[in-house]
Amino acid sequence: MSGKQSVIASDTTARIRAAADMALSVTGVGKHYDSGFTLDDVTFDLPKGYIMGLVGPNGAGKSTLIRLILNTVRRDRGEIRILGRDNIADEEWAKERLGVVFDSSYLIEYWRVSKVGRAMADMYDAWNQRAFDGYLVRFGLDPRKRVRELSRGMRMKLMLAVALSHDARLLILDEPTAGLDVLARDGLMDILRDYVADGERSVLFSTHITDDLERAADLITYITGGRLYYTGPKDEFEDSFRIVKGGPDDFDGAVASASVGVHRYGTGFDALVRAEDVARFMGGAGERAGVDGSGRSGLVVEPASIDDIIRLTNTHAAGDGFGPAGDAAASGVDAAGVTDIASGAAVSGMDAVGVTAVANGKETGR
Amino acid sequence: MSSMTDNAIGTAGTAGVATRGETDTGRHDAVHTVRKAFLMDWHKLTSQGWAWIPLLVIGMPALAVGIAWVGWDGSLSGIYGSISYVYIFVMTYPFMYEQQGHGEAMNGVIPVDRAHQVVARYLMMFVSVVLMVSSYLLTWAGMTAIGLTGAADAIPNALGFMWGYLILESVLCPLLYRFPIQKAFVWVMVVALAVLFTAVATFISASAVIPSDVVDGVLGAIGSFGNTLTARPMLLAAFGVVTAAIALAVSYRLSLRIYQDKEL
Repeated sequence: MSGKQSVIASDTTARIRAAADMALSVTGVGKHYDSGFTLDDVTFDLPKGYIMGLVGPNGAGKSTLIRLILNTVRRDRGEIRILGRDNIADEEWAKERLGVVFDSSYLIEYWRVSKVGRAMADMYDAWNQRAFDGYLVRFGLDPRKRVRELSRGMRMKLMLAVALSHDARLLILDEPTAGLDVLARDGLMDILRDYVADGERSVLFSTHITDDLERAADLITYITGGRLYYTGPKDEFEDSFRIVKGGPDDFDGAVASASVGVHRYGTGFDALVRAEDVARFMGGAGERAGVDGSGRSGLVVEPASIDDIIRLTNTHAAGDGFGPAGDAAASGVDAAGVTDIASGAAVSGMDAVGVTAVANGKETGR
Repeated sequence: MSSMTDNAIGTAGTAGVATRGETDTGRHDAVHTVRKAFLMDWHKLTSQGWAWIPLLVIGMPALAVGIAWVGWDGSLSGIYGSISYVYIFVMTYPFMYEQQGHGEAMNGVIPVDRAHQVVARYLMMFVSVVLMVSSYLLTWAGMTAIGLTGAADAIPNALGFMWGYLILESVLCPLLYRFPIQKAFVWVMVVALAVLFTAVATFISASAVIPSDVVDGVLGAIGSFGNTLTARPMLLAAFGVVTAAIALAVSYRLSLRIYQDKEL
């Protein structure tokens, strides 16, 4: 492990380490497509009793990762274990214990809601018809309606009802909140929190809506450009970064070299900086700056949100808003000082997996 | 990697792994999961209700007998051929529903692996044959009841259509796993035409370079083989069973290979 890949220790991490039973363990998984996209060497663990948010920009590889876990796409390399068993060798055993919700319905469109229940009762040994009927009532699903007559949100609820009605130990949800109103999203997050409350069940869900993460996720796995960027506790993800804001003239070499990502615009810039690197350009006030936002004249340091981190770790040096590479070069700043995460080249000296957490005792990152 | 990390993984590897022989809610023998896949195919087949299946089995013979009652002057073989043709589409129904929307993704969610799904799909083919034979028998019974002569003579032809059905489905099934339904049927026609064209072209080419007495000898041998089969029903039946079994075995292997590589 390189010195740059720091191990973040905290109570949360220690708690996760202690949870030896993994609901999901993904190790060195890779998949290459002829289109050129590659999911590269992804490793993370989801312990039992936790909710993990899978985040990343469009095309990052979230859905591919979920499909690899479900073995609907064959992996090129690596290992995936669901509740301790290989997801291919013990596929039927694993899927008996998996609940799945996709962003679009996988159910036959001509089926009535009641037929969905009958069909799934024949699929799962642990099917609980009473629970299914209860969820239909709770979600306001009319058993006589056909799947194709349901709205997107209601189809998601129907898939969720199926997922929750056969004693699944691991829920995998791919963009479940897309298309849901705020009340439905809140309701879903409440269901997920209740679901993991016994400490034996877990949830992996991908989302673009970071409010959902804030509300429900204990852990975050962030992938971008097909590569793992971070996996670990959600709070530590946000605490690991700061947003440094300044005017156009404040963007100098020190800021550029310390930045993980920068967005430059006409009146200034936003730079994403690892928390421990803030001191590098804030001078003696660095530590204090990381806390209260004061420090080097002209620069403001603020906490980073998940959205900020995703946004700024996907900025490109050559196409960075109002601050193209040419501007940086003209001002004496090496354009390469801005990390180009999407291409996998971390040229500021920081590894692309700039923040590496240890979740459940397994080293994460590359 | 730290020893602590190793220990954590080691613990997960032992505590988290259940043994294969455990007795829990999951019964994972092949018969059990094939049954699940078969039931799923049946649910797909009856996506818009189950009533159309008995209607199909009974309705087609009833229609044929009704037409005969008012004055049919065609052959019963033609009726059996029509029934076989309709049942070809029965097998396409599970594929059709999977190809609508994201229906195929369900096959990646249910606790049945792909090999068992393919086995179940071929079992569905045999069920389709049973339904087809039921229609044949009802047609024969109805025709006999109204006194149509030659009803019993049509039975061998019905068996021939059944053989043809299995051969055609053997070709069609792997194509349905590989292509959308419309394209699969186009490919069936392309394959049939290619075989026909190749056979005719080969015959014409061979006739041009091979002495006519040799060609006549080969044709005579083929004709003789056909006559032998026709004259000995048991031999004909054995030939039919063996060729259908080979076709189905090859078809199953192809379907499995295609489906295993497919992204759902």
